[in-house]
Amino acid sequence: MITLQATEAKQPSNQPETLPSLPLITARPPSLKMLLNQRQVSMQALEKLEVPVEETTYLAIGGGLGSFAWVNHLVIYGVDPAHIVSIGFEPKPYGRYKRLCENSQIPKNERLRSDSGATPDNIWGWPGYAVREIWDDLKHLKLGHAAYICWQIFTEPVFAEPFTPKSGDVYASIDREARRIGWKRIWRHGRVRTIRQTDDGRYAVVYSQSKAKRRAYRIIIAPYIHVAIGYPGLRFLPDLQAYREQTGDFKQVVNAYENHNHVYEQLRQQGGTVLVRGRGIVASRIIQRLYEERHKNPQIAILHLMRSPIPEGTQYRQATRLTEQNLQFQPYNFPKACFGGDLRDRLEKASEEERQKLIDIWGGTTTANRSDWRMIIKTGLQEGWYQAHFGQLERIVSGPENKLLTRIKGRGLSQVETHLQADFVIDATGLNPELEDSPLLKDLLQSYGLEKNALGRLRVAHDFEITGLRNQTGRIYASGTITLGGPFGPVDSFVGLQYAAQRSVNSLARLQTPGLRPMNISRSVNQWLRWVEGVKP
Amino acid sequence: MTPTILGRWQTRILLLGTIGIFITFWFALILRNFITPFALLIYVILFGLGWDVIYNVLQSWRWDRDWPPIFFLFGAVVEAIFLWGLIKGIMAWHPFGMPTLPGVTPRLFLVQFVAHYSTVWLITFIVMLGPLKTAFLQWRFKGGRWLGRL
Repeated sequence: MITLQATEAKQPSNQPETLPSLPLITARPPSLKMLLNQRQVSMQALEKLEVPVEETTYLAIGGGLGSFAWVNHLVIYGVDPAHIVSIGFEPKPYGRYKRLCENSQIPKNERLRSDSGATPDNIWGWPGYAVREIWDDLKHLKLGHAAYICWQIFTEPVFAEPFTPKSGDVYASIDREARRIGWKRIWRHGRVRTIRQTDDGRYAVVYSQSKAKRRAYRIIIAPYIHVAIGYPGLRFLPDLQAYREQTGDFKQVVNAYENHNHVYEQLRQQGGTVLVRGRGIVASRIIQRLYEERHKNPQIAILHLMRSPIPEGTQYRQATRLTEQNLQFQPYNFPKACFGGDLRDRLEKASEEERQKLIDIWGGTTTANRSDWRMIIKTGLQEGWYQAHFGQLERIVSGPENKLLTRIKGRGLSQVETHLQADFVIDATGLNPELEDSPLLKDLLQSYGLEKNALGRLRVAHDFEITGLRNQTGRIYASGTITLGGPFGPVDSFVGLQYAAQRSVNSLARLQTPGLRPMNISRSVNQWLRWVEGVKP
Repeated sequence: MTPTILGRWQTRILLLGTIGIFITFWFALILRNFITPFALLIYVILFGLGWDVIYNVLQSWRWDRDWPPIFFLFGAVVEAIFLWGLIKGIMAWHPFGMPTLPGVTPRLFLVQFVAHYSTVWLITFIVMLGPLKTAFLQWRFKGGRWLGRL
């Protein structure tokens, strides 16, 4: 074990710079905490710590779908899996994603809002889930369904609703690919606490592993890192937070991404009124679930609260987005050309301010144009169990008979105040992430003075490198929602994670990092054939 | 894949310049005419570069700026009708003293034209929808461009 003074004595005079404030982590032993007060740590000092130190070449932080996409590319591009480590909470790469889906009412048999070619298990995007479902149908002689999917993928979204895969099929396919690339040996449980540049051009990553009342700290050194931690946290709207703090009630006012099955159970037994906030895909799914519950108990009513009416769809140049019943429709969370057409090119070339405007236009809050969802709203309006309201929810308080009283301020000129009474409030307005909600990112922002982009997320280069963290030949890349506002719009999607992974791995291949070779035609086809056969890359 | 104009041009040239030539060779053998089938292929490529500009303009009117597979079929039918109409029109009116479209025999039958055109189109279309992605990993992100790096 060494002291901070000893560490500093061995550093060149211009290094390390002492940070103005302590990092947020509470790492032990104290020498580690002190060492990490520096921007750059010496390898010699790290090796003398009591904390176990190991080394790897490629390190994926997060352990979820973003990490999986990056690791999958690395292995297929030629890296030995023994030189890759991924640190995360859940052994399955889709663990957290699945939980959020299930909470927001997308169980295994329901379909996601995702293109057939958005295949997290296949870096080529072919065969897509539609072709696989057709093949499966043919094997089971479900010829009619197979023909319908053929028609869907041939004519979507003009003459048929876009094909979307069942979430259970996506999970099963990721399991298969995880087995193929040896994910089990790559992944390890842990929470990454902080990252520090080392004096030899690499990074020291401190992570903790909690075991029965004991927290063990470990350090892993790597020159090439990928950060994909997903949503930094579930951030609730201020009114929802205020209600919870005042009442201690976590049952009646819920976020759609929380487990809230008790809401449906109570409604099934007792009926009641639910105020659903938001007009995105999650709100649509929640309304569908409430509609299904109405078949068991017709005494369920829905108050749908949206911020303002939408008389016409958003416009971009000569194109207009389809709008009906104050909902804006597009098949995916961004127009399809944002995933790989001219809108992708446009966003990449745009300035940061332009990107903010374009993402606002193309992204925004939209839902899928599904005939069953449109039918539900039309039926609800006709039968009187669905009402749309507009305004800003300002306050929620407990009322008599265990009811919730809400105050809604109108928007626009009228500013009329509305009071709605409900048994439950389900907030489906999204996850509202802030980088600072993640202790790891908060520490990186403070310690290295990282810049945020115009949308308040991490500023990344076209290849998704966090350039502010470059350390000689060492590189750190990011992907997912923490990079929204950068060169690519739909970062928070299966294709977005693969795109970011491919860009960063291509960059590393150009740097000729260990094991990586650029992907040419013959290697690509050969690797794809290996994928088909299900053999190791 | 959501095509861009450069992507349309590059993909058209790539597919017709490889698979198109291969299939046309077999048609030339069957028809015992090595000029007309290849001339037709060149016309499909050349006129297609112009058609692609029109498709690209039409695409910009769509919110998603996408081009569903069925639109490729519509485009192929329109292009075929245009080319056959041009061949027959020149043979009927001889503009600029041309007896026929250069390289195309006046004895070309509709059934031969349709068989050749539809075979080339169908196979290149199927390859474009899937197998091409396995060879060009970045093609789907680059709007159909296979040249240059991402």
